[in-house]
Amino acid sequence: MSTQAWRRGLPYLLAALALLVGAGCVGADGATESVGSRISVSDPYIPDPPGDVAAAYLHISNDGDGGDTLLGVRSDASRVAELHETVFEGGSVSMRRVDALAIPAGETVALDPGGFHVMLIDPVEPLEEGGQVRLVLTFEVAGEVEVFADVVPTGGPR
Amino acid sequence: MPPDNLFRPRVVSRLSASALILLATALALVAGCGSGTATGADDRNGVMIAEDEARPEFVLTDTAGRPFDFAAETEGYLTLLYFGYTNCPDVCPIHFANIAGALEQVPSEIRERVKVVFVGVDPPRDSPENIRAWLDHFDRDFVGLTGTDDALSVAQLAAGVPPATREEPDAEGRYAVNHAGWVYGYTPNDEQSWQFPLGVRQEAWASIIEGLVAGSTS
Repeated sequence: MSTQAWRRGLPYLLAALALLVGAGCVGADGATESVGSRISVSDPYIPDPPGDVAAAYLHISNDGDGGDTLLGVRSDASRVAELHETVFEGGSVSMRRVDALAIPAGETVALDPGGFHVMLIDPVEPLEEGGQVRLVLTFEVAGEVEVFADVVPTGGPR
Repeated sequence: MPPDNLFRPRVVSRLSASALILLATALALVAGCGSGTATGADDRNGVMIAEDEARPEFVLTDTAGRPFDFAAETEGYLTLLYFGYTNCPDVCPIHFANIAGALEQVPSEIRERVKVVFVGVDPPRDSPENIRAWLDHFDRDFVGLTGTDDALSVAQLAAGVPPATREEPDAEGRYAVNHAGWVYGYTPNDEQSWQFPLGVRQEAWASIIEGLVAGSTS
């Protein structure tokens, strides 16, 4: 293969690789698994928000031998997506921003109501019940993991 | 005075654990929910914090821009009071979705004896319009109130709740609000005051609401 032919073929090769990687991202049960690590994200949902901010909830499992860290989240649905924790203290409740969330080996970390959540700020368009939102979670070791969260009735599980 | 002390004055008596179990069981029976699937007999579904004490008195502005005298306007109703903010993504919508869902379940004669009041403690963003839109997502009958920081302080002091504070805005001007996490409940004739934590599910709320209305003296 000449250098020129190699150069011409490279984009196609990369595209094919990307397809392979993409195809490996969705497990049979709809849960998403990253390639080359044991991080999986399951049960994602977003309660139909009453205002301009929404919360996404999900569970992150690490079935591998080494720990990992969730470093950030982004979403097509809002201009900003941040990891937050709701903190109860002395009858008050507040939120603090979380820059890194440890996902230890062999453990599942739950982002459930009243605890950790992904806060979606400044939505691109109003989230509607029945819709779906793409979230991309960035892990220190596992890299990016894509997941699709259903927009469910306000308040979520009752 | 530290916030912890502000929170204490309304506590007149606390039921013992056994009395709470009896009461929770009674609530479940009154509501016809004896299957044991809904209410747990412990603090997770609320704690009575006072008996025979008048509900708090304060005046704020409703979402139509009119003064709302809380004690006068809610007298005779089981009243659920919450101090929150409309940019609250997690705790506030969960409380309100569960309460709204519970009110759809209970008989209309019970529903008619309940008022739900949301106080927006973040005046820069909790405009009457924003509060109305936020509440309409749950129930158009819910009352929304707000006011100046001073008026809100008076209301929170009267209700004996930890006063809300706004955090320092970040570089983009966004900020979170630190506010009372419980829903407060006053029975129709002020026989009892309750506080309810996050985590009371819709079914439990329905039992609680029916029990507290039916158990009232009028």
